[in-house]
Parts: sequence; structure tokens; C-alpha cells
Amino acid sequence: MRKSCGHYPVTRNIIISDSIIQLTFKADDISRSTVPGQFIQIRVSDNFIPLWPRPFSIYDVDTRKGEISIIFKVAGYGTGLLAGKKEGDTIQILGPLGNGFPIPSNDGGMVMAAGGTGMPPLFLLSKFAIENGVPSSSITFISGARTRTELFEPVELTELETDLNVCTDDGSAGEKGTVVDMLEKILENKSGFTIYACGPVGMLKKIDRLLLEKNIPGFLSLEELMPCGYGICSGCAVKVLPSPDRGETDDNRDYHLKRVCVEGPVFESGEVMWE
Amino acid sequence: MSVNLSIDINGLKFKNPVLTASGCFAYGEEASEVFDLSLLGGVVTKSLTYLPREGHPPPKVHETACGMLNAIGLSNVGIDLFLSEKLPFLAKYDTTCVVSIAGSKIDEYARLAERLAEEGDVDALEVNISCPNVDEGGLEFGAYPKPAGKVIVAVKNKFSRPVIAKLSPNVTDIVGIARSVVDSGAESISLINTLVGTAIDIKTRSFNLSNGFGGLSGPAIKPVALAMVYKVANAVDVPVIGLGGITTASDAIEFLLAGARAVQVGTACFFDPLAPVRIIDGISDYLKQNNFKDVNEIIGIVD
Repeated sequence: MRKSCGHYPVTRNIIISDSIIQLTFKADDISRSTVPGQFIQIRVSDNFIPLWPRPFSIYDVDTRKGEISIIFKVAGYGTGLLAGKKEGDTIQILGPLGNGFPIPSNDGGMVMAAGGTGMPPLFLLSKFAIENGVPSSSITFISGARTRTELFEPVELTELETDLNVCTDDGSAGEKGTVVDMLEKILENKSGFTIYACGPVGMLKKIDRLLLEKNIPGFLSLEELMPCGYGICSGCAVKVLPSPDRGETDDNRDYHLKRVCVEGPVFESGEVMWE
Repeated sequence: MSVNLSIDINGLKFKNPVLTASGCFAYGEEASEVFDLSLLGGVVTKSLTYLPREGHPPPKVHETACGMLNAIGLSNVGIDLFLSEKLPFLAKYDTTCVVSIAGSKIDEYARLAERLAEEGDVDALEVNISCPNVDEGGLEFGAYPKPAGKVIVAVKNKFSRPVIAKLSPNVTDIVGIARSVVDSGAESISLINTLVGTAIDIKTRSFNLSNGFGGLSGPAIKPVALAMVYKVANAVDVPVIGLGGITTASDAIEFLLAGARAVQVGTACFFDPLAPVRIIDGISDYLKQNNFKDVNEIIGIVD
């Protein structure tokens, strides 16, 4: 699949909360070819600090305007630089990258489990699912964070009219508890669902275990730092179970490696060997 | 005015002097989704071992100031899958195909060279001698002149087309090793491979890389690479290919002026996928602006 690489202009910079920013870019070609769960690599500085581009899940696409957006938390030097980008600034973007989520048809109940910065790809997946005929009422959306100011809660998410469940670890917004607590509660009463999860690795690991215990299908989107983002460096690889028909290898490892940037970032539940 | 960008390395022709470096371009498939590989002077594949390798466990990379550390651990598809799937893909493009080989025993290099000699689409081999020599206690083949030369002899016995020896900078006398590989029959030398380095996480008080040590690459190593290329180019009679931190056309031109007949772009392909293409255009512009008709005119002319 063709990937676009170039300098794209920023069209909007919206401050969602203290440290959460939404950036929109004019990128016709990327907006037309994106599927939910895919990401872009943004080179935040044309100098060499930081050296690597930073990966961001695509939050929203507007094919009519030819725009794509990301939402991110200012977490360090790179995201700090990015937060300072204004309308008209141009920035190097490569994308769309990665496999993305399988697009659900209209038969499914879907549960989205979004932890903090994991919300954006699940928003886009919900939006695509609804456009594909999935009733918004059949989508349960859990959005959680440690505390209220870290919640990714843009107005577009509310406007989707999914069954939205907000939670925070400290109870400062929504119910008190983690995304995993919330998911467990929801799974007690419902079945026949597919789970889509994105968030911190600790959360994904717990959700993966829960799904395997309960024999529920699910897809997990992983986040890794990536030197390239398009498969040439293998730096972002994660361990997965080797296939039983793997032949003889030179180094006899008990794992196989898959690149998060190409074979991921979305993995099926049960696939990843967690550390 | 058009300028000539083509170069010749002991009979091996490149349409321009810009190649992609081993391990920084996989086998070309992914990059072909970003630009036309036929624009490149050449492609050097990821190093192949005879059997496939998974490589080191994560974390395998770490970002540093103007550079990065990697400990990928030679993960590669192995010779069989390379010949059945990867080489036919690369052969579709009008670019010179250099296959990088690696091994833990001299015999492994020889077996790889023998298989690759049967393939007309392989224009040359680049021999990665920065691998632990299992027969001699795990010391790198490339660390001393004698074992480095032995690997080249074994490869040359099986492969009659050009062989490029890729040198490690982690040695006390790189010129001595360069002379040894040339005496052993290498038609060209490429340098430098990565510099050994490490990083420590002060919170967990453990190494950032699962392997502990890794190889430093990126803009940070360019001055070291440039000095070594200059020294080696002035000491041997074979053409030298320069690499190490090349990110812009200006970097590449420095290497040509220092005596490299061609350059390889490595880590820059990660953070700037179009870097090789821009470097080709930039070299051409430089030649025109300075009234040179041929890239060969500027090779090694630094005062």
C-alpha cells in the first residue's frame, strides 16, 4: 500500500485541557487512505533532537476537507515541540502506517476500552463502524484515565452517542475505578461482544488476560517508540508466540518478533507474549 | 547542463553514488511504498545469515543525542526465503543490488557466497565482518587483520563478482584491517559500521537495551566516520564507500571530497524516508553550481 511522505501544513491547534492538544493537518492523500487504528509518524523537529519521529494514532479524518487530526498529551520534549505548532506551520508526516483494526460489520456488539492516550483510534473505529451501519447504541465506549485532567474527552466523542462510560482512578470524573474494572463489570452482564482496546501496556496486558479467561474475542492496539514506523528498522518489534511450523533458526529463540509498525499496531488477543 | 553521476567500483556500476545502507532498508519492499527504488544508485540488503534469525528480544533500540543505539541481533529471513521472495522483488528495480552477508563461522560466509554466486540478480556482496567469531571465542572477525582477511578469502573463493568488505570502527588500527581485506581480494571497502555504545536507565538502574550494548549510528557519528574514510581512502588502492551519519547532500559531498567513491545512507532512512532521493538531487545541484561535469571529479580532492 502506498504511503505518503512530505511536509503538511497545520490547519488547527486546539487545546482540549491542560496538557491535551488536538492538531489538524491538511493531508488529502493520507485522509483518503486511512483506516481506523492506523497511525502517522511525525518528525517534530527538522534538527536531530529528537532524532526519531513520533507515532500518533489518527484520531479523525475528514475526506471532504482533506484533513487528518491527532490528539495527544504533552509528555516530553517532542510532544512539547509539537504542541507549539500553529496554523500554517508545516511538518514532516509519513502515513498512513500499520494494519489498523478490522472494520466491524453491522452484526456486532462492540466494546471500546480506551485508557488515556488510547482514545483516538477507538473514536475513529466507532465513527467508521457507525458509518458502516453499526447502531451507535450497540457500541459501549469506556474512556478512562488516572485523573480528570488526563481524560481525552473531546466533544466529537460525546456526539457519536455511543454508550459512553467515563472512569478515573481517583474518581475525579465519571466512576471511580480503572478501565479494566469497568470492562469487567460490563462483561458480567453482556456477551457476544468483541473488545477493542488501546492504552498503556499494563492495561492491555490485564485486558488480554481477561479476554483469554472468558474466551472473548478482542483486538489490542500497542504503542511503541519507533525509529522508522514503516518496517525497515525492526526496532519496535514485540515478542509473539512462534508459529508451530517455524523451521530451524540460527538463534533458537522461544519467541518470534513482529514489528508493531507493520504487523501491528493492532494484535489479536492472545497473540502478544507480554513481559 | 547535465552532470554525470554514475560511478564504477572495480567493474561494479552504479547510476549514482547513493546507496542505502545494510540494516536500514530491510529488503526494499517497505521503502518501495514511499518512493521508486530505481532512483537509487544501489541497495544494500539487511545482512543475511544462512538460517533465519529472530534477533535480540526488545528493547532493541534507544534514542540518544543526535543518534541512536541498536541491538537488533541480525534478525533476518535467512538465505532460502531471501532467494525465493526478497531477491525477485529487488530485481524488478533498475538499481544495483548488493547483498550483505554475515556469519558466526567462516564456513557460513562461504556457504552464503556459494548460493548467492548462482544468482545473476546479485551484483555484489558486502561482507559484514562485525560478527562474533564463534570458532575463536566470540571476538569479532573484523577486530583484527588476519581473521578479517580469512573471511574475505573464503568469500572470494566462491563469488567472482565484486566483494565489498564492511569495516568496523571499533578497532585500534582501521588502516591495518583495510590493507588486510584488500590483500585478501576485496574489490572495495565500505566503512564505517556502528560504534559500540550503551545507555543506562537511572530509574531502573539497568541497561536500556536488552542486549546491554548496541551500535551507535546517526548524525552523531559522522565526524568519526569521515575521518576514518579519509584515512582508509588514502591508504588502499581500491574504491571506498563511505557511510556513518549521512543525512543530507552536504554530508554526502563531504565523504566524496574525503575520498569515498560512493556513500550509503543508513539511519537517516528511518527518520527521513526520502533522504536518499534528496541526497542524489543535492549532489547533482552541487556539481552544477560549482561547474563540475562529473561526480568523479570531486572524489578525494579535499585539500
